[in-house]
Amino acid sequence: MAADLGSHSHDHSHFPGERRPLVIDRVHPSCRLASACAWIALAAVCRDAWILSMIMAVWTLLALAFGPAPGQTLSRMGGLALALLPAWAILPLFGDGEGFELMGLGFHFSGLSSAAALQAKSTAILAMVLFHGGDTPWNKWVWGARKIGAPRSLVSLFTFTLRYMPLLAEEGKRTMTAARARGFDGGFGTRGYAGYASIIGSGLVRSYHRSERVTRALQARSFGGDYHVLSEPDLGKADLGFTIVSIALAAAPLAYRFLIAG
Amino acid sequence: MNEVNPPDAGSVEISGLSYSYPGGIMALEKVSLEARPGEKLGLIGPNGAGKSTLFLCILGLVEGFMGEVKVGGLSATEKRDLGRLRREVGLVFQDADDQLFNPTVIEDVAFGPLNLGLPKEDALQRSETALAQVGFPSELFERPPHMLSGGQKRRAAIAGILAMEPSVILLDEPTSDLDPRGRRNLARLLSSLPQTMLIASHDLEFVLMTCDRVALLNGGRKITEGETRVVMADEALMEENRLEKPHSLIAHKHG
Repeated sequence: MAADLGSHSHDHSHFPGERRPLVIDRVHPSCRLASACAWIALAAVCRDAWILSMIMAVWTLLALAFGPAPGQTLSRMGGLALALLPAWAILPLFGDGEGFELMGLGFHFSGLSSAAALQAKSTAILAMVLFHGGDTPWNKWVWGARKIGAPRSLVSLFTFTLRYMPLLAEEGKRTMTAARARGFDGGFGTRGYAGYASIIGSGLVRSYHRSERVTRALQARSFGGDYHVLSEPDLGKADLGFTIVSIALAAAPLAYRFLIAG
Repeated sequence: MNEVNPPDAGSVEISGLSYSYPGGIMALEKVSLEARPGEKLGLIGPNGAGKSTLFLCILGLVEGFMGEVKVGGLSATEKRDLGRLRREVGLVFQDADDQLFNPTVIEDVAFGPLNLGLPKEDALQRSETALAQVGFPSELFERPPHMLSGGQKRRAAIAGILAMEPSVILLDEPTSDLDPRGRRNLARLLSSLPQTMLIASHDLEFVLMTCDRVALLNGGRKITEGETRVVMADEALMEENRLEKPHSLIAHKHG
């Protein structure tokens, strides 16, 4: 017998904002994870300003051209630039070598160069993450992480965090609304901080209680610590090809620097 | 290790069950209950009566309770029986979000069968059958649980239990997030299922629709047990235990 427990009015046959799949979404998540790791490692260790600039430019263009929502990509990069503004102000103060004086403070070119490198690295890494991420739902990243041999406990932690994040955010919003409905107006005064602290505190307590209930729900369904999944997509030749080409390209600048340039 | 004997399958026997929360607050005090195979037994009572804790004890999900809990001959106090017992008993949690933690609905429903060691094909088949049984639309099988409505979550949670093919199903406040039509349809679905059921609910009309017998709990103690209509029609008893006689049992005067 099929039962209708109501809620047809809430049925969403399509996800809100659903778009056509991106080309990158066709590549197996594990291959994208491997590729992203290689490029992120390169961006993190690279000290050559020219190579770093090239990496940043290429990945920004790739993320804008083939990543999800170019407008959103640009706004995220803008947000990152704003977040890094303090680095531009602080790092030049602690550099060494030549520099200039402004409003009685000594600024060093080497510090400015460090700030520029930080900006380039962060922007490149963000672009890499956005490009490789595509529009892939998070459950497929779980498959990806499992496939490249991530520890089981880490994969389970990843799964639970991603599953319950929207729920915790929703609970947080509800608590904020309830607090506002009773006259809490936020702000940055002592009362404001105390209010935020109690909201965060109650959120943590609720999360703890939920984790206990989830553990019981897991045990009740015979969970023995080994997380099984129903379907894992197979790796194709194109996936492997993408990974090999991507990692080879990431390794090329390093090979050039260490083997050819010396 | 005890085995489930076919004549015992689906039977629930609880005798002298007592449990205190850490800190000494008494949650259950010498509760004794029995449900025959296939029977639908309602558990009613005010907040804090001990209904949800009773379910946790049946599955051995809390430690340190006293007394005896047996399901199909398997004891919840014997550690070696717990694995088999949890295969025999399915618990539908009050908050469906506690139960639905997998990335997609179909993965979540298959979670139990996969834990039972079923091959993926069989687990998938069982999951699809269970979802069809509760009327869950197939186009939402791949939907993440947090994007479902309350009714859809409830259906998915029940399907997750049905897919494990238990002989006993425990339902904790199953109508808490359902609209009236959904509630009526859930009552129809539960009545059509052959499993033994223990249904804890404040929704007395729902219990009246689904259960032939009820046990009334208050303050961790069993106050009475009997035929649903008889217990619920006792206005004084209901009032004493912070409950109300269901509207459908109140005789209406016409004219």
